[in-house]
Amino acid sequence: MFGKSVVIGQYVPLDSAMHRLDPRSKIFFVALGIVTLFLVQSWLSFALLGGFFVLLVLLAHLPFQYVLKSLRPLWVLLALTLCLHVFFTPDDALVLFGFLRVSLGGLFKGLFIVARLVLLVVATTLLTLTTSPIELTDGIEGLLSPLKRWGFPAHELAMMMTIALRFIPTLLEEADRIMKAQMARGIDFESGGFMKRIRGLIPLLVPLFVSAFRRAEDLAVAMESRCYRGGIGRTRLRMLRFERRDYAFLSLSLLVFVLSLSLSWLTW
Amino acid sequence: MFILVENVSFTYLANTPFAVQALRGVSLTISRGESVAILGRTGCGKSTLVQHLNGLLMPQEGRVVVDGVDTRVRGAALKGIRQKVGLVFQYPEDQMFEETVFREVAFAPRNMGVEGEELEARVRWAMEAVGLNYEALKDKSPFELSGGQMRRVAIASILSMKPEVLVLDEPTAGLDPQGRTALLERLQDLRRQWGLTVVLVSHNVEDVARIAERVVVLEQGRVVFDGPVREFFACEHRMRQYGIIPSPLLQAAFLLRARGFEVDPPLTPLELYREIEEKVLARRKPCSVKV
Repeated sequence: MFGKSVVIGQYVPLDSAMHRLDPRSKIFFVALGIVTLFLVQSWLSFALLGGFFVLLVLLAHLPFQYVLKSLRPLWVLLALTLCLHVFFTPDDALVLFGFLRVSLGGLFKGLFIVARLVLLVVATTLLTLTTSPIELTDGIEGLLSPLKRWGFPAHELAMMMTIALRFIPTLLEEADRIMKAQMARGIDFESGGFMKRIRGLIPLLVPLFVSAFRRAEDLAVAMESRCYRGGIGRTRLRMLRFERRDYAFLSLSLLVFVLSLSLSWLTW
Repeated sequence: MFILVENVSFTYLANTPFAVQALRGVSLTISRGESVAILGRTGCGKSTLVQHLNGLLMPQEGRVVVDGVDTRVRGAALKGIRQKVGLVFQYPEDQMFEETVFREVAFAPRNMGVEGEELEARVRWAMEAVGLNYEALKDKSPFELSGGQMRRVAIASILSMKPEVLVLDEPTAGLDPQGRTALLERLQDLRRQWGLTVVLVSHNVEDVARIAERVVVLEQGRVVFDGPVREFFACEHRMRQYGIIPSPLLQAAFLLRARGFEVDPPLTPLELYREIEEKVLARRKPCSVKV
């Protein structure tokens, strides 16, 4: 079901050091973290990065099960990666199950890739759990705005993202309401063959589109009547500002990343 | 009794930081032929409660029984409950999607397996029951109609299931005065002529006075009043306490009462006039009334 039982994005509104950081520094952190994770080659580096991420999760006051929950859609991918590595590494076989060879080298390699993927997800989850979608678009606009000099529509893109994000809950609520209204008229969304289910979507999609178009038109009129004309000369309610804590956070992250990279090169 | 709501509690987003408890141990019975209004301020749980009446939401605690069947059934029995309890959502015209009014009104009975002549008869009956001209409108697009007509088509598209209970969530919201009066009159006719049980969710005291015999007031997910409409309208303090603003008619009666005239709460302008004639003018001191 949609609507009130779905949380948009993953943002958990808490008040913590991680939440208060400038979204731009968190985006930087994720970008650098991803690069580092792909470059490092040793378990020691992974341990260091993993420890650092755990520290950040603690700093964000996030319950660990929230972070783990974001891994749930990945179980299949992780299991598949591990299996492929274990069974199809042309290495000395440890055990033989018929045509399947279990290789020790493959097991290590597989676990290595899995660890890398898990840490990737944890890093990005740290961003999405502690940053509201609006802050995120503000951050992206801030990071893209130097490109405005070459005619890149950073403000327009950010505005489109903001509007889209703003209307996701509204449309989900609307979809939920229309779905219930049609269920009250005896339609069954949950059973029947494939074609029947596809056809069953028409009573949901037509009203949803009708109302989305109406909302879009209303919004356009409302924006124009408030003299909206794009980003030029526009001021903001919430200015993004790098504070001391942002510099501290970024320096610490850089330190950890460089350390883990050098550890990796030393032990390689 | 026809609908039994027993000790029902419901929480949205249970077990998350966003949990909102909408119903807290609500108990209620609705008998055949009754007309009940559910009142209360925004967010008191009215809409959540009515969605329990036809099994769109299932109680997390307690139970809801419709005509002897617990709503926690599946498949055909659940469809049967939804046919017996017709639920008209707020702004029901938002649910319309068909190319013609006929197909729109026929959608629900078709889902219930009604075909052919019976289907046409039902669509004709439902449209006429809400005061729409069947021949003139059946081939029009529902999107060409006026707001009041669209609303009535949407209500007809529930009536065509031949429900025994009609539940309406704010049926007059956003209608012009003519549309509102016409719709309320039609609802009264439906009760009188077809013995339909009506459950009305509303903020509007005037609508309630016209349609309902019994009032159920919700406050923060609990039933805080359940009784005859006149009993509820008799106490201004209680109405305001639950966030319900008396209609101008009732306010006039309260003003008279504050000045010592024992006027009963009126449901219609005519009733207020009779009360004034009988209890105020008969005492022959109209000059003492300063308004």
